[in-house]
Amino acid sequence: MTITEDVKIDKSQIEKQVRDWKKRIADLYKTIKAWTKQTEYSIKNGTKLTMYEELMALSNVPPAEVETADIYKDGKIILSFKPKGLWIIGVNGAIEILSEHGSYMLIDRAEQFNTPKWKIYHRDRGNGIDFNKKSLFQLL
Amino acid sequence: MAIFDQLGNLYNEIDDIYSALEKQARTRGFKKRELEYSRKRKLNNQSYFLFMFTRIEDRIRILSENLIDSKVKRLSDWKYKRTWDILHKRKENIPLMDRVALLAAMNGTDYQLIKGYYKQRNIIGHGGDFTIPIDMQTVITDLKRLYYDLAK
Repeated sequence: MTITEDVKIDKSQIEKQVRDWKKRIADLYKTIKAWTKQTEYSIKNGTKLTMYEELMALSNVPPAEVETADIYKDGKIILSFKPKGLWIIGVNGAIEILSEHGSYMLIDRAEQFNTPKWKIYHRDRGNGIDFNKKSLFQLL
Repeated sequence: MAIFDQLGNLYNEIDDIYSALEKQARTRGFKKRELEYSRKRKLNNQSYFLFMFTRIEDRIRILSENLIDSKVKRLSDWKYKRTWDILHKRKENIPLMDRVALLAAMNGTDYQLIKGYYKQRNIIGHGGDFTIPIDMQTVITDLKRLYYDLAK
């Protein structure tokens, strides 16, 4: 289901998608934590953001909180991860990555409820590159 | 499409500055400033979204009117021509999504995509905020592609 389709909105389905989104975000940060273990970098959760998207409002699902995270080096934030949204046209959720040199977008290209396929995009939205330990350290 | 490249480059220049400032404020723990820069980026998104959507609206208007004109000119059998004659008479007053329906299948992804963006355009145009998260790089890519694909 995409935001552009006229469909009946099932509250329990929306709640399930929100739970899944929060879990995908938490799992991503856990993965990054594992990648940065025993390196000069560390990741910590930051201020939570409120998530209240149109489908949630339309189906009476209350606002939810989603985690942000920051990657530190020598006590200084190098990258910040801020969830952008779940129901973005054409994607299965996106997280913005802020750096000193502008922003990147981490987009889940998997189908709903499937194992995430995170890809990093900068300017041209072409094919993006797979988000893995190597591409993360390239950003760092 | 040069105009989308130009607007995209301008958008990126501005967003780069504000995203770096947002990140800087976050690094320093200045939460109010971080929110302020985030809000400025959102306003910039709205401005460029509207600006770019007007370009695609113009393209849709031109392509749909060209199609109507050519049908009226080329068809001779009244059975086929009559609908186009009616459209021709009121071609300046056809709503945008009806124009899109002349160029793309109503159950197709392009029609649905434009419909989704058009809804956001109307909300932003009347002082509202995006009701869905918008990724501007995806918008730019979509609009550039639609600019060509709608003419096929």
